[in-house]
Order: sequence, then C-alpha cells, then structure tokens
Amino acid sequence: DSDLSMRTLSTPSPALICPPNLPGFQNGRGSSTSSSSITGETVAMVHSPPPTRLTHPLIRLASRPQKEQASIDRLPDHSMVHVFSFLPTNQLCRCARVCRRWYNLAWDPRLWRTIRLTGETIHVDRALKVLTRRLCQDTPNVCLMLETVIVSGCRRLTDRGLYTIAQCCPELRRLEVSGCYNISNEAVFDVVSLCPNLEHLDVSGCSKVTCISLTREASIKLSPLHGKQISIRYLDMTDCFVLEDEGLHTIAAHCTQLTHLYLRRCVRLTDEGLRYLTIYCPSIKELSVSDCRFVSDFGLREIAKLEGRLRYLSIAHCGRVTDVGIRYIAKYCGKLRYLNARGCEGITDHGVEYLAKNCAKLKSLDIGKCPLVSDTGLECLALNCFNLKRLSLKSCESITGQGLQIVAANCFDLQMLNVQDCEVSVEALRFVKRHCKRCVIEHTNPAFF
Amino acid sequence: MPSVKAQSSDGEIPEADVEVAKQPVTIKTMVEDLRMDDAGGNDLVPLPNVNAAILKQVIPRCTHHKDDPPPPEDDENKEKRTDCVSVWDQELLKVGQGTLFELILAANYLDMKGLLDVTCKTVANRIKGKTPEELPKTFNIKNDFTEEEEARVRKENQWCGEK
Repeated sequence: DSDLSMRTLSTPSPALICPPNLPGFQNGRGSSTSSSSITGETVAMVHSPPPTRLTHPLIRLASRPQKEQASIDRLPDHSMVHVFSFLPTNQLCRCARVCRRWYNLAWDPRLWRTIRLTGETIHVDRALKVLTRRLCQDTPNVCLMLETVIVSGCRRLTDRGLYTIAQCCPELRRLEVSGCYNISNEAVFDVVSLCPNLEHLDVSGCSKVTCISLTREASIKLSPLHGKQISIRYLDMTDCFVLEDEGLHTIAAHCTQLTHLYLRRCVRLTDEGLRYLTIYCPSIKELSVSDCRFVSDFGLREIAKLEGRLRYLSIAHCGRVTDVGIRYIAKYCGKLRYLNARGCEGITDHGVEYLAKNCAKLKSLDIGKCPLVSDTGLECLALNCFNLKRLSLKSCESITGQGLQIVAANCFDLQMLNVQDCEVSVEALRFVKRHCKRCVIEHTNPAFF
Repeated sequence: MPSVKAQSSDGEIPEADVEVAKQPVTIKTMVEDLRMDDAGGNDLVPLPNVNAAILKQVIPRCTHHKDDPPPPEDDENKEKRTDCVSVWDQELLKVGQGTLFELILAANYLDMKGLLDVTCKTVANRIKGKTPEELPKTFNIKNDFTEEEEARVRKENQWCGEK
C-alpha cells in the first residue's frame, strides 16, 4: 500500500483523478462485495508561506463506503495481539474459545511471559497445570517463555501447584505467592532449585515458610566451586512469623546477592539473625525489620555494616532501639534515603540531630510516636535535610507549630506531612501550606482545611 | 508557517500545523524524506488507506496531544493497565466498533503509537468481562471450531469455572 503512495508522488503531475467507482481497498484485501461509491475523500496538502496557492487538481483518495461496518476480522494479527496484551490471564483463556483465529492469537507466546491469576476460590493448582501444559506444547515439558507468575491471594494454592511451576518453568524470574498460606518450605525449595534465574520472590503471608534453601538433590548436583548460590535479589517474607535466626542464617548464606529484603512482623528474629545477614549479604539496599520487637541497638550496629549501600530502612515499632542504634546507622549509612522509625519510643532529639547531620540525603522520614522528639530535633532536620519530601510526626506529643514552621521554611520540596494527633495550631499549618505549595498535610485539626 | 490542510469533499478542515501533522510517523517520514516542509510547492501527502471520517478524528487528536512526551518503552514487568486512558481520548473513543477498528487500522498505517495504544486498550476494555458466549455476539464472529476442537478447548478452560 505504501508502494502505491510513493508511486503517486513520483509522477510530477499532481493530477490523478480516480474513476469514481474504484472499489475500496484496505490492507491488501480484495474489494468488498457490496457496491461501492466514494462517499468521502481526504487530501492533505503541504504548503509553505504565503499560504493558499490554490488547490491543484487534487489526488482523490479512494475510500470505502462508510456504511459498511468494519469488523474485528479486519484487524491484522499484530493489532489483535496488542489488544490481547491488555487482558488478564483468565480473559485471554475465554477469548481462546471464540474461534480458531482467536485461539491461535490468544496463545501467542508474546502474551504468555506472565501468568497472573486472582481469586480466593479459583482452583489455582489445576489452572497452573492446564496453562503450563498448553504452553509446553511446542517445547515438550517446559515453557521457555514464562518469566513471571503472580498468584497472590489465590489461597487454594498448594505445594503441588508450585511444583508444577518449578518443573515447567526454567526461565522463571519472578514469583509472587503472597497470602497463599498453604505453601510449605519444600515447594519453595523446589522452585528455587529448579528455577536458577529466579530474581524476585514474594512469599509474604506464607506462614509455614521458615527457610529458603536448595533441595538435597540440587545441593548434591552443584559443584563445590559453584557453591550453594541462589540468585534471588528481592525477597519478601513479611508475616512469615515462624522464621527464626537460624532460618535467616541459612537464607543469607544461600542468597548472597540479596538487594531487597522484607522481614516485617517476623517477630522471632533477634539481633543474631541480623548479624548473619550482614556477614553474607553485603549488597542489601532495602531492609525492613518492622515489628521485630527483639531487634535492639546491637542489631542496628550490625545493619550499619551495610554502609553506603543501604538506602531504605524500616525499624518501625522496634521498641528496644535507642539513640545509640540510630547513631550507628547515621554514622555509617550516610546515603540513607528512607527511614521509618515509627514507634521507636527511645529516640530523642539527640538521635534525630545525629541523623540529620549525617544523612543529608534523607527524602522520607517517619518518626511518628516518638514522644521524646521535640522542636529542637525538627530544627536540626530542617537545617540539614533539604531533600525531605515526606515527614511523619504522628502523635509526637512534644512537637509544636514552631518546629513545623522551621521545617516548612527550609524544606521546600515537602510533599507529605503527617501531624495527626499533634498539638499544632492552625496558623502553623497555614504557614506550611504557604511555603510548601505541593505539600499534602494529614492532620486531625478540625479547624484547618 | 508550514501547515497542512486536509480537505474533504464536504468542506475544509482548519489547517493543522505541519508539526502536528508530522505526529503520525508515516506522514513525518514522507514529509521529511521528500523535503515537503521547506519546498515551495503544493505537494500532496496522499493517504490512500485512511478515509475522510477517520482522518477528521485523527488530526484533532494530534493537535490535542502535540505536546505529550513520547510514550515510554514498554516495561515487560509492569502490568498492562487499561484504566489510564485520558478523559479526552475516552470521549473520542465513544464510537461504534466499526469506527474503532478503522482508527486502529489508521493508527497502524500512520504509525501513531499513542493512538494505537489507546484504541487497543479501548477494545480490550470492551472484551473484558465477557464470556466465551457473549464475545462472538458482541463482535459478530463466527465460531469455526469443529466439535472435537470445541470440546478440547472447553476442557482447557475448565479451571476458569465456566461451563
């Protein structure tokens, strides 16, 4: 078709009148059987100033009669695949049942890099079996295209379903089974052993999981040189509340390339587990041990060994932490961007001062429920951490409007400020709004709006 | 300033800046390859694959979106969402199926990624939620499976919980 247009252009004379009954054409298909008449024509004319030299005889473009309804059959395959690429897995399968063409398009390998299933009641083990079997058709026993499987929330998932994935998907990179509480260690070991390219694993809420390791067979197969490496970089074990220090030791020893690790509410962990972690995993950038209430200043001293790599740390509700622990983090992890220390009631203005002076790059800080932090601490923050975008001081009883004003006057980038349950005046809040135009303020002061 | 005029048989359409008209990559390529934008002539940009009604809708969209940043490269890992269609585009796309498919074909031919994305998302939204029985009716498609094939395909889908 574009050939046609080029040919037209190369003839210098612009006059090319098409006979009025030229049948319509589209994408190289044959003319339609219905009678055609030209109902509209479109010309584009390019001219440079001064405008309007008059219209030459124009190239009339054959167009289709507008009455005829274009049908979905006219869309080329690659457009259909593009449409299908926006459909979730189950809808794709429904489309496969419509006709032969849709069946073939729905199973296009490009659409099956990811399987995403949702629903508490779906029989997800069977779904995985059927889907992987279909995807293995051309490459017996393995689906080489599948890289991501997300079945979070599909509570009926059992070890069998995971084993199906492990067996068929050697190219798996990302697996999310959050909330699938029937999963046990064995199935996880299978996946990790048979999918050597796995980078991202989310087993949050899988409360039976207490370890990440290789199966015995896999351990035996690997040569001593290779070591027992598991190449996972992102691991979310939030709410795996049976996890203990020894389990974390094994995980760290195997997953030495971890960069993102979330252990929220793994309440049995202590400082000892953190010691193992930092021995084996020097590349950690993001770490959360929120609600791990046994973690203390000694644990923070261990975490501080991550030094400049650490960008994100959450120690929310680690009640044993005091200024001493904060000082370790501040002193060694100068590149920290995000710190959540909500509920670390032992933190005082000294800790905040040390933090402010050493971690100038802080963008987000949560020191809510730290009753000992006052305007003095806020002033240090304001004068050092100019990049601050998000600040939470919820329930900080010692904060007043004055401290807020100093922050607002210095931290122009502030986008979120939480002062719920703080004794701050409406004037102070208005001051903040005036100085930090983009700031959203969360507060409990009924007089301010 | 160089401009593009699109003329249809039932009247003129306001001029479109040549920069706007160059949004469709096809037109841009033609214009630049053949140096139409600085020539003094009345060269024509033929668009044999796009009919009048469709071009009338495409050009205003080009104008509306002319300052949009180029769309980002597809991130394979991100879920492909269908709810981020701008309100303006949503209005444009409240059209019948036939027109919607014509827009896709035009977007393909004119190589307009933004329009293509938005039209395909719209079709996807019209597919979502429909059962295998409703889909052929909605889109006027004939089921050409043999009985055997039909049974096999249905079995493949049993896990969806559908009959």
